[in-house]
Amino acid sequence: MSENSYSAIIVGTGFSSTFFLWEYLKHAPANERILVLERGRRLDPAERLQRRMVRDDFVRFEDVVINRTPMKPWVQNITFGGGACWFGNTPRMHPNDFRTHALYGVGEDWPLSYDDLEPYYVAVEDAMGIGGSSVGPYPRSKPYSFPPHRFNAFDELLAKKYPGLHIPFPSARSSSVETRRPICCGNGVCSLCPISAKFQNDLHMAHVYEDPRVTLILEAEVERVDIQAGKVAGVQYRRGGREINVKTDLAVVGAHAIMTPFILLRSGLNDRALGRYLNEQLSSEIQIDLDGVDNYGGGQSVTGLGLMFLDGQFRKVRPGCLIESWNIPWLRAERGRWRQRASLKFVFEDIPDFDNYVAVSREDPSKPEIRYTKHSDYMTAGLKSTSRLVEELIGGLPVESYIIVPSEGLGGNAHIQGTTRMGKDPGNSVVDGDLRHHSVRNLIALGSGTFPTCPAANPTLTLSALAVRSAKRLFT
Amino acid sequence: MNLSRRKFLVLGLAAGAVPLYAMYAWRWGDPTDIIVAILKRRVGYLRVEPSTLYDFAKSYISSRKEYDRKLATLSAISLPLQFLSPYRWLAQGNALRRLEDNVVSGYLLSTDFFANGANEQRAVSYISFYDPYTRPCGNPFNMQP
Repeated sequence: MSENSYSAIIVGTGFSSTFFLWEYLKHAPANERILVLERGRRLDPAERLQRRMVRDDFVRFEDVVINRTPMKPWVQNITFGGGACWFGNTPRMHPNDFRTHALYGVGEDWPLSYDDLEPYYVAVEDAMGIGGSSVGPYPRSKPYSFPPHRFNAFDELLAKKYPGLHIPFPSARSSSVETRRPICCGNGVCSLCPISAKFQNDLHMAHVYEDPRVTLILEAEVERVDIQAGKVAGVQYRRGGREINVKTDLAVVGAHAIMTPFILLRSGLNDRALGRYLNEQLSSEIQIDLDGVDNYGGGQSVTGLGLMFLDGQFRKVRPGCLIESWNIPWLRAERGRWRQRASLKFVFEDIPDFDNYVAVSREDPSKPEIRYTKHSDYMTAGLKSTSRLVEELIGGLPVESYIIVPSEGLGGNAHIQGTTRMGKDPGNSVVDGDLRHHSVRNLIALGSGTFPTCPAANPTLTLSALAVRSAKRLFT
Repeated sequence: MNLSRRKFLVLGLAAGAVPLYAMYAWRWGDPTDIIVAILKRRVGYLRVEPSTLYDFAKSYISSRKEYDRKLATLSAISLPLQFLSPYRWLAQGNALRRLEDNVVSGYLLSTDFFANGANEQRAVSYISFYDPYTRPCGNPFNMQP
């Protein structure tokens, strides 16, 4: 194999790329050569904390995309380790999330089931040091390796009212010294944890990139994948003003759901669904003043996961939502009632729309163009139902008053999904259930861009598990 | 009702004075005044060292520079706010109510008040401005067993 030739080239160093590489290295032979190309730089962790840099400004995401619909913001962090502003929330998708079309006639069915992905959920949960409870509608082949965090007082009330449907929020915010990280002490700034209690890709998976088989090149902007006769032959990238071509037998693109389809479009692929179905969850924030209940005693920033409105026949007409119960202290000014407050976030699933998309900008072909025109009617029905759901939730509980905080613009949760969706039908998807392109079989697309639906669950755990599964299935 | 010319002039001057005073406060007002006024009213019954209210106010404003002018404008009502607040009559999401919540929350979390069981009889020490990056693990409610 020549100097500029690799067995595999991986684009990006975010969660999906890193977990793919982690699994890939377990099976790859000792003489394998793997090149990893990352557009961003590698931040010194101490400097990052000192400057409070949740996102690196070396390559600002806003500068490298053209957002035609700025009322709908998108968030991404172009740096070693990737991520956007990850808080560490790691719920699994509900088993029925994989089958919404079969069950409720909405969305698409995934080309794999919850049971297919379950072992990989376990693997990633162990790797991330996730603590949680086995209570809830998520069948598990083994319990969480680490304990759940403590509920706060409002969680206790919800858990009593909804047995089995309000559970400790599974998270990558350490709940035990056995994770080899400090235990979360509720700083409430999880996007950049001051004590590294939260699992962080760039820190806690850095060892993956130190493998002698791996060559990591930073500040490398991948422009296209070289596809010849229906097969990937190499990757072209730019660094230091130079254009560089490298050969490979396998290209794995995990550059997030805006850059990945952009790279594939510039590589000449013209799948109908490529770049289309751009989506993410939307949410409503509820602030509750409690009556006589002192709150905030939970063990982490988001303590409770409410599943009471997540699944059911109602999904035929309106989206399911999961509820995040927040535990970051924001006290009341009134004497003696300081802690009598609760904060919830209702996170709604959506049905992705073909007309929301990423494309190569005609004005500047070096940049992707993003267009997200409006929410679906399904999502709108969900947001409109918030008030009714809140009333149902708090009925009979010691609540003094509540407000629903309006979103700015079209809102968002800093997730990006759908643009390289998986499926069985090449006419309506880009990759198969193993994340391999339908026709270019040595091309893999990673990340939440491969999600064919928009489940309410935070995507990071699922996209990481999919990446591990994809890598493993290459060798089986 | 017929207004006498004198009453009319007085009302007119008063009506004109309010926006002028607000403009004056926006330009020359001290944003710490409103913060201290809120704290004097809200935590004045606690055994706190008065200088700590000013220490906190300076840190609070420093952490919210984008609101500096708005807080300076509000300084125009700092004296009456020290004695009376419309908090309980305002809607839950009202901006003034949120400000009082933010200020009181920030101040109390910057002290050892909750670490000592919210004991109002005990002297309250100001530790430092509540900032998880300069004082990590300062959340008094997250007591690990």
